Amino acid sequence: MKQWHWIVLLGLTALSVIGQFIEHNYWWEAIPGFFAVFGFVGSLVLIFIAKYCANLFIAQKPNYYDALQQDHDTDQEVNTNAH
Amino acid sequence: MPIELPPVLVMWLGLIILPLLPKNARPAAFLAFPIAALILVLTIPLGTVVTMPFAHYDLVVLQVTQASRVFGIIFALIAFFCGVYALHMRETGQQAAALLYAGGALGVTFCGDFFTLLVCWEIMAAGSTYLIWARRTKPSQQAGMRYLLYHLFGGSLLLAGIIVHVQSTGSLLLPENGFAPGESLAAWLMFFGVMINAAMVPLHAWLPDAYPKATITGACVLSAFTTKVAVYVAIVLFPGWPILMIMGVAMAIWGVSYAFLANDIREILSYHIISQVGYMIVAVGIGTELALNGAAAFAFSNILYKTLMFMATGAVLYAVGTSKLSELGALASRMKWVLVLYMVGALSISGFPLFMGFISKTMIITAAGDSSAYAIKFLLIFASVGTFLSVGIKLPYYTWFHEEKTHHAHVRPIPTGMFAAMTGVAVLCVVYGIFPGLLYAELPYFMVFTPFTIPLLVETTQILIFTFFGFWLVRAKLTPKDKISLDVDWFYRRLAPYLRQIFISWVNVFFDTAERLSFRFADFVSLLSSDPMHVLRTMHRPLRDFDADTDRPPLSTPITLTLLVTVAVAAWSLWR
Repeated sequence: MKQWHWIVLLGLTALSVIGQFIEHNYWWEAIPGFFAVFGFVGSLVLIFIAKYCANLFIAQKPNYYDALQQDHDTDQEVNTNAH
Repeated sequence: MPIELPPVLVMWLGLIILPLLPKNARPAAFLAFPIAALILVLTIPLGTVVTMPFAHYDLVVLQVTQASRVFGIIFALIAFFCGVYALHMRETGQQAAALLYAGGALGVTFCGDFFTLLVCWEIMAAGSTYLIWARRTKPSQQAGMRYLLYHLFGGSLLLAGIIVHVQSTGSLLLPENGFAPGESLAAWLMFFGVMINAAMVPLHAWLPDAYPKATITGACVLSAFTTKVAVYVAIVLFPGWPILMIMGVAMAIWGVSYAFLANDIREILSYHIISQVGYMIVAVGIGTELALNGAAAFAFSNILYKTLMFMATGAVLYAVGTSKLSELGALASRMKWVLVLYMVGALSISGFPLFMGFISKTMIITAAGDSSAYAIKFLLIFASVGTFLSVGIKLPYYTWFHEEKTHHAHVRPIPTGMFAAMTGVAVLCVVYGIFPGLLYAELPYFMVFTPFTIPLLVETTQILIFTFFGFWLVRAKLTPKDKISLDVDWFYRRLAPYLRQIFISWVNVFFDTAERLSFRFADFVSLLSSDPMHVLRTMHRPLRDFDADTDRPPLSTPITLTLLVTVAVAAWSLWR
């Protein structure tokens, strides 16, 4: 990201805030920068909740299901031998 | 005079003709069938009804409504582009499966009775399963089987619903204005059957399980049909069911959250399908004319840009042989055009103004606001934050930029057909994005809607820019790792060994035991018959078999027995 990229993005944001004063349908659309805050907070909330859940138990090694399968296969072999 | 032939038959005609052609001509010949179907869809006038007598019923094999027309156009169009994408492929099996599958989708879209719908529905399941199996790896074999079982289950629910419906109403025709919310048991059964295909949370796990394991072309084809056919059927059968709003929002958010976590680029897109279908399901649930138009428009545009993105990620997989973010990176200079074409899809899906997503997503969000469903509106906007985050920023950033995680010495050149297909779809995304009227004219209901209004532009601009800022701020923590995310398929995949134990191992044990016991009994009988008296006395095998001459008892034994019995019988009869 070069400096002028940031300038363009901030310029567009400024333009959009001006647009809010020209026309709005709902009361929240009149609050300057409402959706900027929504987008920023929303993205961080999504990132942190998703990452938090992933760290709890959702993220696993890619061979998670294969390992289960193999465990079970070896169990069964032991059983058949025992007969 | 237009030919009033169901488009599905034209597609299935290919199944007969393709194998007769020389192998090298088949990929090009494939294109003729979607084109023919597209011409049929465009020329058959609205309101055409063609019936066919079958047993006691009249099957409506062709019924053209405005809704079926818009879905029909996009289905035929995308089948064509997938054909162009696969021009380099010499595999008749996949071509046939694609025709079967896309044909089934057109069949559902243009049918007017439940029987035709069910037949085409099941044929879609069969054709699509082959596109997964055609990858010919062990994971895709297994995922394909899970996919097939899931869809057969959904098909059975649909069939059960249809049987109950026909029993109670006596009519095989699709109800004129759909079912009233929660109208009958039949409606509920069909609802769940259809929602399995729509990948409604928590019945969605088949989708991200199977699609990333399909072939490169297969995933592009798969991404277009199954879920959108379900959306079409939901528009026809379940418009305005309030439960759909809640389920749709759950799908929209669940989908993006998992898309954000996924490591495989095609899995990111697969999870993201769930999110996108969630928008359409919400729109069907709202049920106003604007919302139903929005659902149709969203399905139309989603098929275009989602397939474009699957094509681009397929091209990455084709070129470097992996689709894992943890093994990609810094490919921008070597795959510049794929990046550009992918970004057209990504900007479309994120709803950038002048790209295609903007003209359809805004319809649904506006419809939610018009119906005073403000919570839904905000949750959908939240989901669109996630959309941009996962498929608009994360996926391209870690695929084409960032650092090179694994060095790919050789980047296979992309076939021209792939490029042509991606370019074609990308051009459509931009054209429709700039001239939304082209799409709006095809929608089921008349409406006046302008997407390019200041509030919508303001909302989109701020959301997108600040989502990007959010990502940029924490990007250091987001470097993809080679992990998978557990989803609700954990329950049945984790349970599978135990179910196998109960229904296979235990059943086997039962039969084994029965067999062993019956052999033992047979053994005993043969032992007994060798010399019954000896065996019963000693319980041992006799040294030699019974010999009538030496082992026969003396004559006095039977005489004594006979006398004893005679005395006993005489005594008993006298005593009485």
